[in-house]
Amino acid sequence: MGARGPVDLLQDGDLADFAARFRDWLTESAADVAPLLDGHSDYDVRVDNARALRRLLCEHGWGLAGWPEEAGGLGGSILHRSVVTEELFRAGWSGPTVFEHLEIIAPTLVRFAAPEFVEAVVPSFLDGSRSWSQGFSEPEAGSDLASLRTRAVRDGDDFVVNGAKIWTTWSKWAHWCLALVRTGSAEERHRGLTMIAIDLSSPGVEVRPIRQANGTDELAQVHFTDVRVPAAQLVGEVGRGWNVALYLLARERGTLSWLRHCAFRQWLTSGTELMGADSDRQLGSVVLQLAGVRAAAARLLSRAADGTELGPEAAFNKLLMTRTEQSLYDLLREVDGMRIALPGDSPEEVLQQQEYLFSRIVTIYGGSQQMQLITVARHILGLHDG
Amino acid sequence: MADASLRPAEYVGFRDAAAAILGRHSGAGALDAFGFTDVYADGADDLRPAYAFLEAQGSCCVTTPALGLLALAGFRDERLPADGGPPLFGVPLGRASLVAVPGMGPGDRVVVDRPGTGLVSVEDPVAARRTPPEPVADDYLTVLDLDSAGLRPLVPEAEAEALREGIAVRTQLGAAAELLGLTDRLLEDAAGYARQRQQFGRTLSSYQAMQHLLAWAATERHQLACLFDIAVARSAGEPVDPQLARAVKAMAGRVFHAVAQTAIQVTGAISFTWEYSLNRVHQRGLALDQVAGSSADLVAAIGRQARTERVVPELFTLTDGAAGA
Repeated sequence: MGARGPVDLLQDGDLADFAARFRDWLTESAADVAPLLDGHSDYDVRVDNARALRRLLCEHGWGLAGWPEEAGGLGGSILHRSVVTEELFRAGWSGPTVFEHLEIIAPTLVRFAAPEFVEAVVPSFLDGSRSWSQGFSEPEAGSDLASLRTRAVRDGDDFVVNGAKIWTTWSKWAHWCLALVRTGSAEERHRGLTMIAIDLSSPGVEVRPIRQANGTDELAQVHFTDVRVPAAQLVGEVGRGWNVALYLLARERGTLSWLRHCAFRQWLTSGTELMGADSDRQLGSVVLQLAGVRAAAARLLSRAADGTELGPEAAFNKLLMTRTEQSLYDLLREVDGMRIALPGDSPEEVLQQQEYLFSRIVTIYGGSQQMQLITVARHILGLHDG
Repeated sequence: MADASLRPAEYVGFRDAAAAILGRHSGAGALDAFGFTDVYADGADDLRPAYAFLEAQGSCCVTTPALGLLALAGFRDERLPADGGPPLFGVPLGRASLVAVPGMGPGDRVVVDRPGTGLVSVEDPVAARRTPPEPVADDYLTVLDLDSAGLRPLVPEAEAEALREGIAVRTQLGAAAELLGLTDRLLEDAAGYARQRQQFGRTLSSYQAMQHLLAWAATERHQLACLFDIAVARSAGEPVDPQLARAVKAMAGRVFHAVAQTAIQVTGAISFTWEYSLNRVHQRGLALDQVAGSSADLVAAIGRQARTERVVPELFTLTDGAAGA
């Protein structure tokens, strides 16, 4: 007997039943699913697998569970999506690569973009045929995002965009870029910003991948020269881009921590085979940190599922998530530094070195650790200058 | 804490009600005013109010025997003399012969667990009391040395085995509740001090170095509150997984020490004086970390289990409603 589809399960409204049915489906579909879960040292292969997995999940409805109907989904909440994520990691998934942005960008589009645009672009994001990048940082605007210079000028039904974005993760593979641009004056700072979706196949767009210290080229610099962008692709109102950015960043700092902690658990579990009794205390410490990330992420998911706007508390999740990732890789380096410093050419060792090096900079992306601490200090503890 | 709205509303209601009582009462009077005996009485399934009381007790740094009562929730034994009050549990410490009794007063009866023997009552708890060096900053925990104490069997080993897990879980979560309350107290006092204390013509809180210290402390405290709330919510419906209770207690001890260090650093030399409130809160937390497994021992045990079983515990799942705050 085949597993019931997700539509019936969402009607049941029971998350445990939903999870059990998805596990059944994974078991029944192992021949198709398993090859798409494996890690690979060639990042292009991993991206191809991630696309194929999204397609397969959507064909069977699982990739649509938890997404609103207006976005091509089946209804349900972020808890359904998070259950799917965790079950995939339990089944040995190496991770979503470019679709890590799904939980960050798609909810932002649903929340702020015009319904017609959501209907036009989100279903192809869900099914893996299109992927997105986010264009926030610029060569002269990192943590001080409000100083960005990429400009969009209204011209009839379009905006004309000129400027450059940097550190735009996964742009090399992306079809769209959700870009924060300046439509007001520089003096207006964050009040003069607007969020807009740019088709990266538009004339005037140039994507230059950046080869990273870990050998991959997930990051890129994206140049815009007189790029015409229909006003229908605005995400939120003109001049209100800062609010959209805060919403998105709360997702990047908060809900992403659920996905990432699933990966941490998998890495730590496989790392235990290298450890001896002398690692027990350090291992226990990382296990405990992981429990903290998991608990804080679960609380945030619960609030998001209830429709609560995520606020500055998402900074807690980012701080806990990134500290744990660094502690985890500190431990793996200490128990077998050779594997990380001088890996062989097996996919496992290459991946581990890539992930180790990436773990060194996780306290930078999505708002640096220092910015998160300031957010907690000012907006939660009420500590102010002066 | 400013994030109270992030925590389960019903639990916060219990805690705030307890805090209001503990602002006026201590000891048995506070327990009576809260109706604590109704909470832990035989047949009471929902112990959330008891944990909320203990968290409030920590934040107010008040002494009652609540933790010793909670450990033996539901325990009734006709072999105890009928004229005494409910017994307090002597909580294991790191050394086999020592137990700690929270909030013990004259005449209180004490029950301890002696693996291999079962549950036993201590015939004369006052005589078994280990004398602490004077002066004492906080007398919340009374340490008994059982080597020289008369012990009377109550529950034989075969029956005690069935009670042991529940006692351990309630003790660990109860101690964690108190440690969370103590942590909140330290963090609030330190942040309050930083907002008022001026150096070089500015408040301490305006310095980024101070902001970062306190923000890390708040982050530590946040993860503890999240994990603790999940365990307490679980306790209302079903037995709590001992691995979850162990993790909560371990985290509570570690977070307490981290936040205490921050509070000391922020408050400066005054924190090293005997009479400043931080001293008593700090010493109470130091002592509570030692009961029912110190954070150091529990962390090592967690690591040992993960290594030997090659399983990193999940502790809870989204599907059992654990995410619901």
